[in-house]
Amino acid sequence: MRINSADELEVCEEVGRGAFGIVYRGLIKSTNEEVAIKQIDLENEHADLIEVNKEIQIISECRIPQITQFKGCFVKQYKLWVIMEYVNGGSLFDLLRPGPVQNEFAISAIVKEILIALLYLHNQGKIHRDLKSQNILLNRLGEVKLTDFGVSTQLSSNFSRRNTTVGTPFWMAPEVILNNNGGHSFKADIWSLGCCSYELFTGKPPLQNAFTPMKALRQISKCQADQDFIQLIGLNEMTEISNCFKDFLYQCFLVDPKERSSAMKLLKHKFITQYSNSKSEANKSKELKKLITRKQLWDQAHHVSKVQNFYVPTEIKLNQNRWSDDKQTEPSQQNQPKTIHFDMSSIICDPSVDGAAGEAGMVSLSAYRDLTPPTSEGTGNSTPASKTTSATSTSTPPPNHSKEQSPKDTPLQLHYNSLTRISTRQENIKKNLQPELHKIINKVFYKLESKNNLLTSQYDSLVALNDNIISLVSFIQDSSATATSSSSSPQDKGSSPKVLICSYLRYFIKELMREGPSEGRTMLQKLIIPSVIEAKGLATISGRSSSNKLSSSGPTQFDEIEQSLMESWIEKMKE
Amino acid sequence: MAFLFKRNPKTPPDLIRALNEQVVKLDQTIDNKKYQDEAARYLTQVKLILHGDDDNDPQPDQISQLAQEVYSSDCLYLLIYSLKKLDFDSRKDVLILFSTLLRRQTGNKSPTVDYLINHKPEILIMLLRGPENQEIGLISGQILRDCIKFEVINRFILHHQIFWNYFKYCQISIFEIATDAFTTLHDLLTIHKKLVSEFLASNYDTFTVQINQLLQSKNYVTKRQSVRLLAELVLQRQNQYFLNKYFDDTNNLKLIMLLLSDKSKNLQIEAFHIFKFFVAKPKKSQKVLDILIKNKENFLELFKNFDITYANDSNLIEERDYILGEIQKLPDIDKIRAA
Repeated sequence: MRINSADELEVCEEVGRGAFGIVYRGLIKSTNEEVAIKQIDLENEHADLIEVNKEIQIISECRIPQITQFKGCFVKQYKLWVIMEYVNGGSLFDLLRPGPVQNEFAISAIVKEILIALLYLHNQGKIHRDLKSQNILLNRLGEVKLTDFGVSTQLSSNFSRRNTTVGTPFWMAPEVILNNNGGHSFKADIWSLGCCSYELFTGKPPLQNAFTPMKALRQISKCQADQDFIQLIGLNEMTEISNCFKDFLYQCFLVDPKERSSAMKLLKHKFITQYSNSKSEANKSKELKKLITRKQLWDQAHHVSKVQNFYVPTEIKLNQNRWSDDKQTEPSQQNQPKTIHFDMSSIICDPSVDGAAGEAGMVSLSAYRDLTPPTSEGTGNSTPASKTTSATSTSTPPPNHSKEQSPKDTPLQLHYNSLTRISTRQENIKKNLQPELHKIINKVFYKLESKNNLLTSQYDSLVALNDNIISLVSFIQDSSATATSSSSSPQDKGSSPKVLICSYLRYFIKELMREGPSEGRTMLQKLIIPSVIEAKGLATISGRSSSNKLSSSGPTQFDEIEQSLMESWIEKMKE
Repeated sequence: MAFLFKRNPKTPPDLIRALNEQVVKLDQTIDNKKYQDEAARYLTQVKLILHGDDDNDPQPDQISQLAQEVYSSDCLYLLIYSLKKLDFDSRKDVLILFSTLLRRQTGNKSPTVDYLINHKPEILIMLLRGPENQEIGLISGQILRDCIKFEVINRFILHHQIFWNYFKYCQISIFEIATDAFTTLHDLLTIHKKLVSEFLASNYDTFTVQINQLLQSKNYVTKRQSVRLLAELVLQRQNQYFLNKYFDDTNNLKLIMLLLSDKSKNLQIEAFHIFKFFVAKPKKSQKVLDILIKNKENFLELFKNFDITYANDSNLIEERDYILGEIQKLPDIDKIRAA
């Protein structure tokens, strides 16, 4: 069955966000079947029609259970809707969040399915080109599906090569980065598969723990002999890994693509075949379902109610977007072009051009009439659009962060409230504080993550920050009772135990509120403190509003500054 | 090679004959699963001969034997004729067979191109009709675009009546079929520049009517693709004759002005790339000049707010400023009336 119009669908919640579109979960009305709806805004400057067509061509030609199934696509106004099979278990990236898999049987099972998908693609002259844990999905039946063909390509023959550098750093093969050997072929996918297998076993793709993405690129590209990369990732020193799996990885990480094994050959590798008897086949889906359960339990324990982010765009693409993105998004949204009414009264359709042209003239006239009202509509639209830009742009955590601290549930206020009710028994306090803080952090984290496309590194930093905050719910000896601000709870002064994180936050806020000695301070205030509190707080403390000062610097300058400030702040918090 | 199994044909010609046998049967029965599977198996072996695998490199003499049998037995004709009845994945193997043979050269001739033009042009016609069938539209399109790379085939198609169907095909309601048909149309009109310039010169009227219809499509994608194609055509100096006629026609100007006032920014920019030639043309027709003068204020207003900053294209900004200057130089309509 093919979906040909939006009327056949019910659109549910958002499940992912990419550089040029949003993915929703949806239902086919007639059958209640779940589908993923990817809406690509064709007016978006990054949505190249030719690229989009290519992706659709490729996915519509794949019919194999190991690749997410294409269910149709259509144009609705300025958006292209692409309907795909919905995969409900999450990506390997999500499933690895609780920790590495380490069970080699499960890894072999997953890798085998990906190999089948790759063999299918490669046999047809297709290269995926962005194989990584985010693009490998599991459904609740334990089936493995390859997805996101956003940068995939079709070769016109087995001998041709591609010369474009696409992919995501940690998973990229040396020849892709270097663009040598006359470009890259199918074998680039095999390298990436090796990275995914390694990632399953250790929890992180090779080099991620040691290098930033750009440095990793340089490291990978430096590998000339096969042992270079093996040594770089310390594969020989890994002890808990079986020899069989190790050898499989060696085959994937051969630097010369000609030497590197094909999907066909790897399917015959012992690491895959040793589990391929009928008894293990039956256990396979059980093992894979366990991974999903493990993730669900972990989510519950960590109060993560995050939706599965199963569509993660290529990081390089995101970066490119961010680089080209600067400053322009907002002004372009605001300056909605006015509709101009041309005077065409003097244009008479040339009657000699035959009937079709005359008809065409009629159509265009009615189209012209249709154009008149949208002016107001256009400007009306622009307001919500510009509001959402901060959410759509790839990495601007700070504004959302401050928005999140709406007066109703400001974490700080809650801390104060809970602090006033401090009992003398410290353990009791801890029991009360920790879950509350947990809840707040989780909420903040969830909001931050759902509204922003976080980079892996940002995500990791935030997780680390959260852990730090929680571990800082410990008690300290108050050396100078008088140092505390009188604003907290005077009756407890001196006698109440201090919770490290709360004190930290209090000092932080206090220092922050202090009249800005520098431009930077004022900016920080503006960025971190919610507008409501700021109005009150700053008025009483400094007696003058900082907004005047700030208005001189445009909003666009902010994004870069606030980003670097936020990063250094996180760094400091981690120390 | 894999010819050791029993029932498997021994030589490449045997293989092609066995494949043909199954393909012919496909056409005669309703329940053709068995023949589909057999054909699929043979096609996989054909692919192995053509491309080799991990352990075997392709052998030129085997390929040459295979090709000879393909031509003499009209294998390509049979495969394309039954394309729809083949298994979904086998159709892609047909594409591989077809395009590998197309690229094969003996001397500086391509025997496949010769075969298609002089012996079985019916194959090309069947491929051209591909978009009429949802199942095989995309495969036919890919094979066809491989064929178009050869000028003789491109010429054959442009001079065939069926070419004009492509203006309808690219408005088909199935998105990927329509865009694929458009890609074919685009290739037909852009790859062999000299051929196309002759074609546009002798078919100005029909072509303009057809492309103008696409410009007015309700479908945003059709509109955008066709205006982009047109912009590409007017940029070609070889198309001089076509350009002179096109930019004197007020009906064309009207359609481009409609696009300029479209809500879509992308359409506006694409339209600008055509509009600029109306303004920049040294000898404008009186009618075109009249319209430009009449709308002078409108244009000034439009270009004042014409947002092209995000395109980050310094050429575009220069061009906009140039066009703005040219429009400012136009006489004011009030003065004309007064005089």
